Parts: sequence; structure tokens; C-alpha cells
Amino acid sequence: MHGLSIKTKNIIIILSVVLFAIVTTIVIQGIKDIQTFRKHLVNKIQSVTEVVSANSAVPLEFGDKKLANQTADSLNAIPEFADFAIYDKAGIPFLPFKKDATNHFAKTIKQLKKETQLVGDYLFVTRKIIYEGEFSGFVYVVASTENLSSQIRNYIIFSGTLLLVVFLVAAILGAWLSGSLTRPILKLADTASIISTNADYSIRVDKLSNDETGTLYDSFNRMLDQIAARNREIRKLNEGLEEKVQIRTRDLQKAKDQAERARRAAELADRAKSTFLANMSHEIRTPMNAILGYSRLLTKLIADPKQNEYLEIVQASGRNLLALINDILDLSKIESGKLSLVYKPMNPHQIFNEIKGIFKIKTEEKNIDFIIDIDEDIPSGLLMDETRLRQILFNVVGNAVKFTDKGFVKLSVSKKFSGRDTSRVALIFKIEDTGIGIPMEQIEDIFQAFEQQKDLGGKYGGTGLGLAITKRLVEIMNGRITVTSDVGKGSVFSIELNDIEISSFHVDALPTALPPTDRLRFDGSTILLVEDNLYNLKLVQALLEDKGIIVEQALNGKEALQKLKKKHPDLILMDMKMYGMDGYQATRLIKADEELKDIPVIALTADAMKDGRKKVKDAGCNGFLSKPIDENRLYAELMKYIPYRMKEEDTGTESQKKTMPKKIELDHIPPESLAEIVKIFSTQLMEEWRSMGNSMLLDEWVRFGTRIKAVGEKYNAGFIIDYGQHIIENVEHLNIAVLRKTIKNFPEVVDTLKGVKNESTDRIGNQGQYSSDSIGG
Amino acid sequence: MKRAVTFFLLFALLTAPALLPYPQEDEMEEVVIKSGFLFNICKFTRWSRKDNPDGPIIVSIIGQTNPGNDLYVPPEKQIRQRKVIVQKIDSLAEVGGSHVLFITGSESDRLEAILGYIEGKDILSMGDTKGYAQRGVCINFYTEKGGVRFEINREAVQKSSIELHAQIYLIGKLVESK
Repeated sequence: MHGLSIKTKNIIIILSVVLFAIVTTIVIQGIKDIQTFRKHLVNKIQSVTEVVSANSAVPLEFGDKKLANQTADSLNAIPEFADFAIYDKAGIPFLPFKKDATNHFAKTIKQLKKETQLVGDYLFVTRKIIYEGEFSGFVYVVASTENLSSQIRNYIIFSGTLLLVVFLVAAILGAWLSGSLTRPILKLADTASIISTNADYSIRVDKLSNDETGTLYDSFNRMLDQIAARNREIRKLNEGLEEKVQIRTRDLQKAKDQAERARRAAELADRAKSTFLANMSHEIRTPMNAILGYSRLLTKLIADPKQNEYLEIVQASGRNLLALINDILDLSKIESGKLSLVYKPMNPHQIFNEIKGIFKIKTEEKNIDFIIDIDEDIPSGLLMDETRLRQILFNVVGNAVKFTDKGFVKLSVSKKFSGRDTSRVALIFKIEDTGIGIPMEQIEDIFQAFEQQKDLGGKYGGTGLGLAITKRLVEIMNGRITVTSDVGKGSVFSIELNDIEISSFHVDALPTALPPTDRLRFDGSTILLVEDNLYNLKLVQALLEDKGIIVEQALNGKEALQKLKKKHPDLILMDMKMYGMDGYQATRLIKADEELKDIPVIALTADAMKDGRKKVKDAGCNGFLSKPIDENRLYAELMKYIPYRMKEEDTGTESQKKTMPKKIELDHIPPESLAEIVKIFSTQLMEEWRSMGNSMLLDEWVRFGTRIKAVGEKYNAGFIIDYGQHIIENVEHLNIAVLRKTIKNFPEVVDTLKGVKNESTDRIGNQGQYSSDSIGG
Repeated sequence: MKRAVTFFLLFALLTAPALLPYPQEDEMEEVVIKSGFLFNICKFTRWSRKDNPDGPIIVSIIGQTNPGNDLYVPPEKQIRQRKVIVQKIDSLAEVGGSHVLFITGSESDRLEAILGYIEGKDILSMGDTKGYAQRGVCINFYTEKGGVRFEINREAVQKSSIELHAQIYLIGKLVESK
């Protein structure tokens, strides 16, 4: 039906309706007619039979067949009448069927169940012969229904013919009607197709009639009028639009060019500014170094107090100027986004101690109290940029001390965890003072560069850059700084640094405070280190090798047991949590082995709770070290189980120790790592060194130093770290002469490393030291 | 029933008197056949009197009969649940209560007197003597071609206020009083 034309659909619908109506009528009427015919026949036969039965009593009783036959004469007038019979009450035929040659009727009447019954083509009507209530026999009348059948046949033929004729007429009328309906639609469709193909909206359809299709044509034509009008309008608009777009594009291009020129100019200016600042700083620092150095020398030569006082003023002014230059450099680095933080494991307590030491003296001079309140549980190992944290705290605490003349300055430090993650921590510093305070309206300004609290009249000095730098550093370190203050009563600076990763390793706060371990040696001892974390493995290995211990490695319990079969170490350091076979199982197996059970096993575990210790003890471990590993504790623990000795002290003088670089101790580095270091130094770094030549762009030298330091840190090579650090420090302190010399020495350093690599077992002699006679100048 | 009678009259006009189906073979047979006719005629006869509907139908015979040759109706034969009693009477005085009075040939001399006596008494008169029907007896048996037949005097029937089934007239031979 979906793909048919409207015309066909119409015809089908009309014919279906007609067919349905006619067939329904014929069927209903036919059934009704047949029923009427039959009823009529039945009534007729029943009436006649009634009469015959009423008149059969006498002939039957008198045995008068002639009379009996006479009474049935009326039956012959009925066309459908076939035969009749009279039986006496005993069922014996008195007047049998006459035309019943096959004895069919006689047989049939014995099976009749009703007085009137249709059997085959015959209607049988039975009546009892009763007179005055006395029953004397039966009358059977048989009528043929052939007449009825032929009537039905005729009716069907008539109906069929009628149906055919009506159907044909309906088909012809339907086709004509549908055609008159679809013709205008097809015409409209053709016209629409022509219009869309040729995009010619001037074409109109001619109306065929005034009926609904006429109205449709009118609407279609009106629509075409509107489209044509709109097209004209759009064309007009388009013409205007093109012009506008051209003008706008021109304007835009002009603006863009201007912006581009401005941007380039700004970039140039910015670069010029950076270069200028760097150069200027350098140019000022170089003579400043001379001024400061020589004035210090002069101090020792001049005895006149007046002259000495002038000289001190000169020195103080020089230091101020230097501080100002350093601040400017920092700020320009921060603002140009060139400042990158160097995250490495550090111990914040170290900085707190430094602050304590330095500001203790200053506060004592000013006769104010200096209180430090540090939470005990602040981790001793954090991944932070130590230098910048120091800079922040020195700045703020320094300010507090500077602006406080009576009362106290208090530094409190606390920590908090952000959510459930205990691997990260936030540090909250609070610097409280009872100083001059800051007026409300100036609180925002104090963090602006070159802004200082007004109406101080230069009494306190300073560059006005300290807090600006501090604020920016705090922000770079994912933190924020806030201040509350009361004029005349004091200020509170709060600094919150978020998302600080806790280092897996304890960083010793005062490495120089434990001289015994410095000289401790376990030369020749063998330790099996079982640890599945490579980073931890390398670090502990370095700590052990630093003390002359030969380290065997295993990545899990299973591997450890395999290694133990071949060689028995003096001690086993066992990480307890490992993939595959863990430390508990491995320890149990070792302690169950007759040959291995005497080897001491020291557990390394992050589980410091009481339960954890018990578990470790139950597994059979002899000792216990909790992570992060404290190297002093590690050595102390080892001293219990393996032989050690104290190395003799160096013979150099105190001054020499201070200025001389450390010896090149690279013997703990495996030869393959040495090869990698030498490769990096002789290719990448050497290339960089050459390309810089005699350039005095300080930033580049800092980058160079940082890279060298990073290589040292990667391979845990103290000598290389020191060399990188030396470069960086000299840049920062603008010790240009020293810097030049240090950098000039780079090829020598590379040669030294090559030598170490070639004789990796030998201690490197004096040729590895680099000249440093000007350091600290 | 009325319709039946109407139709019967129609038939009566069209049909001729019927022949009796049972031909006489000897004397004994003749009495049996007469008895059968008597019984059947009674069956299709309506008496106008209002007697006990459960009481018997009484057939009285007056006059002399040949010994062992009497009319006879078996006791189990009933008409409308009424027994049929056949009795001989010696005098007319005994005729009261009878439904049928069979007058034998010996009473030919005083036939008129007998008929006069029962006239209007709702009694069907019968006989088997030639000329009786013409003399006023309602039903009179006779033999013809070896078979027993009967004559009917319609006038006499009508006088006696007895109603005979119309078809009886088609079976019997109609005669008139002289």
C-alpha cells in the first residue's frame, strides 16, 4: 500500500467498500431468504400433514385405503410434495410409500427424531393420527427440497452477476473520481519540480477548478510570490553584506596588525627589560664585589675609628644594594615565568633550626623574645624546593623582627592532611609579632613590588620587594599568604602551603652533628638487600656502599632464596611487603633452613605500629627498621651484627676543609653508571658548555649548573652535585671571577671523570680537584 | 377439529362411497365384521346426552338372534376409556341408558313402534335387515358381492340428535326414508 499512487489507493478503497457492502448485503439477504424459503416450505408441509392426519383416523380404523388415498389428494397440489404413508399404531404400514422404490423413505422414518426433520434433500413431516384422544397411527409426508436448492442456486447466480456489474461500475467511477483528485496534485508536483530544478520562481500553476485543489493552487502561488519577494530581499541584503564584510575584514586586519606590532614591541621590550636587568645586575654586582671585598680588606688595615665607621657605612650600603639587586633579579624571574622550583627531599626542621640560630641573635640585640613553636609530627622528609621555602620564611620572619621593637616575634608551624591521602600534607606557618602593625587600607599594598608601608619615613630601610617576592613564591608553591594586623599592636602573617608530598626518605636535619657515622666503615661485609621498589633499593644500596659494604640485590623473597643458595651474606635487609613471595614468608623459610638460620635478618617496613613489630618478630626477624630509612639508625642497627671500624680523620687544616671541594668519591658507583655519567658529560653537557663560550648570561649558567647537579643526584655522586651547586651558588652570589674559573675547569672535570671510569676501583687523586682559591671572595 | 370437518366436507364432495375392504367368507365371519363395524361406528359417534363419562357404552340388542351368532365386542376394547357392553333386552322398557339399539329381523313388524319409542332418546338405531334403513333405522348392515356394507339414513341420524363423523357418511351408503 505504501508505494501505491493515491489514484490506485482510492480505487482500492472504493472497491473494497463496495465489495464489502454488496457481499455483506447478499450474504445476509441470502441467509434470510433461504431461511424464509425453508420456513415457508416447512409451514406448508406441516399444515397439509395436519389435515391429512386429522382425516386419516376414520379410513385407518375402517381399513378404507381408498378413503385414505382421497384424504391425501390435497398433497398433490403442493409442488414440493414427494410421497406419503400411513402406519397403524403398531407401526405396520397401512398405506405404504408409493414412490419409495429403494425403500429409502421407509428406512428413514424409523430414524427420525423430530416431527419435522430435514434428511438429505427431503423434508420429513410426521404426525400422529389421533381422534378424540385416541391414537391410531402415523402419517408421514415427504417433501423434496430440490426446489429450495434450485432457488439458492438461482439466488447465487443473480447475486454474482449483480456483484460483477456493481463492481465494474464502482471501478470505473472510482478511477474517474481518483483521476480528478490526483490530476491536480500531479500537476502541482510537476510544477514544483520544475521550479526547484530551474530555480525559477516566476512560474505559476493554472487553476483547473474552484474546489479544494483550486484553493491549494492559490496558496501555492501565494507562497511562490513570497519566496520570490524574499529572494529579492536576500539578494539585496547579500550585496550590502558583502560590502560590510569587506570593510570589517579590512578593519579587523588593521587591528590585528596593530595588535601584532604592539605584541612584538612588548615582547621586545620585555626581552630588553630582562636582558637589561640581568646585565645591569651583573654590571652592578661586579663592582659591588670589589667594593665590598676591598672595604673588608680595608677594615683590617684602618685603625682610625672615624674612618672605620665610614667604611662600615660603605659596607652596609653595599650589602643593601646587593640585596636589592638579588630581589630585583628574583622578581623579574618570577614575573617572566622563568622561575622553576626544584623539588627534592628536604628536612624542614633544618630550616627551622637555621631561623632559630640567625634570628635568635638579632632578637637578642633588639631585646625582644623570639618564640618558635613547631609541631613535633611534622615529617622530617618532604619533597620541596628548600631554597625557596627558606627564602619565604626568612623574608617574613625577617620583616617581623625588623618591624618589632618590643614584645615578641613568634613562628609556629603545624601540619594538616588534606582528606584521606596521608602521602601529602599541608604546612601552616604563622608568624606573629607585636610590632608597629599595618593599617587596614595598606594591607593589600604591602604585597605590591616597591610598595612599603607608608609614613615610615625610611626608618626601617629595605627594598620593598621582599613581600612581593614572598607572595609570588607562595603562590607558585601552591599556597596562599594572608595577613591580619592591628596598628600599634602587631601583625599575623599566615602561610599555607598545600599538597606537599612526603618523601619516602628521612632527611637528616643535622648531618654534620653525627661525626661517628661519618667515619664509620663496614669494609668487606656483604649484605643481601631484598626490596621490590627500585628507587628504594638504589638509595639503600647507595647508603650501604657508602660505608664499604658489598651489596647483593634481590627483588622479592623467591629471588632472595635463590641467591642465598649460592652465597651466604653477613646480613639480610628484608623489605616485608613485596609482590610475589613477601618478606614474612621468605624470613620464615630462611629461619627454617639449618644453613641459613644464623644469618641476621633485619626487616624494612613502613608499618611502624606495635602489631607490625610483633608480626615481624614472629616471622623470625632479628631486627627492625621503619621507613623512611634514617641512615644513622640504619648504620647503628648494622653495627649490632657486622664488624666495623672508625676511619682516621682527614689531615687537612680547618681552613682547607672549608674551602676545598670534596674528594672525588665515586667508588660506590657501578662502572656502568660511571660510563653513563661520562657519556652525558662528554657529549650533551660539553656541547652546551661550548655553545655558551664566554657569554655572561647568568641564567644560562644557572641552568648549566642545575643540569650538572641533576646528573649527580641521579647517580648519587656527591662530587658532581657539589660541582653543579658550586656553579649555581657563584652565580647567585655574583662571584664572577670564581664562576669564570669554575666553568673554565669543566673539560678538566670531564677528563677526571673519564679517569675515574678507567680506574674505577682506585681512589682519585688530586688531579680531580678543581681550583677553588677564590671561592667565597 | 372444525378445520378437519371443513376439509372432510370438501373431500366428501369429491369422493365416491368406499368399498369395504374385508369380504365375507362365511356366516361366522359376517358376525365378526358386523361387530367390528359396530365398534368403529360407535368410536366415531357423539352422543349429545350428558351421562357419566367413565360409564360404559351400552349396546342393547332387541329381537331374536341365531344362537352362537351374537354381536360381540371383546372386553379389552374401549372407546375413549369407556368399556363397551353388548346386552340383549327383552322389552323396550330396558332400553333406557343404552347408546345403541340393535334391532334384529324378528322385530320387523313392530319396527316403527320401537323407533317411535326411542325417538329423541339419543339412541343410535342399527339393524341388519333389508329395508330397515328406508324405514328409519340409522345404520343398517347388508351384504354385497360377498362383503358386509352398511347403509346410513341421514335423516334418521339427524332426528336422533346423534352426531356421526362426516367420513362415516363417505364409507356407508346413503339412503333416504320412504
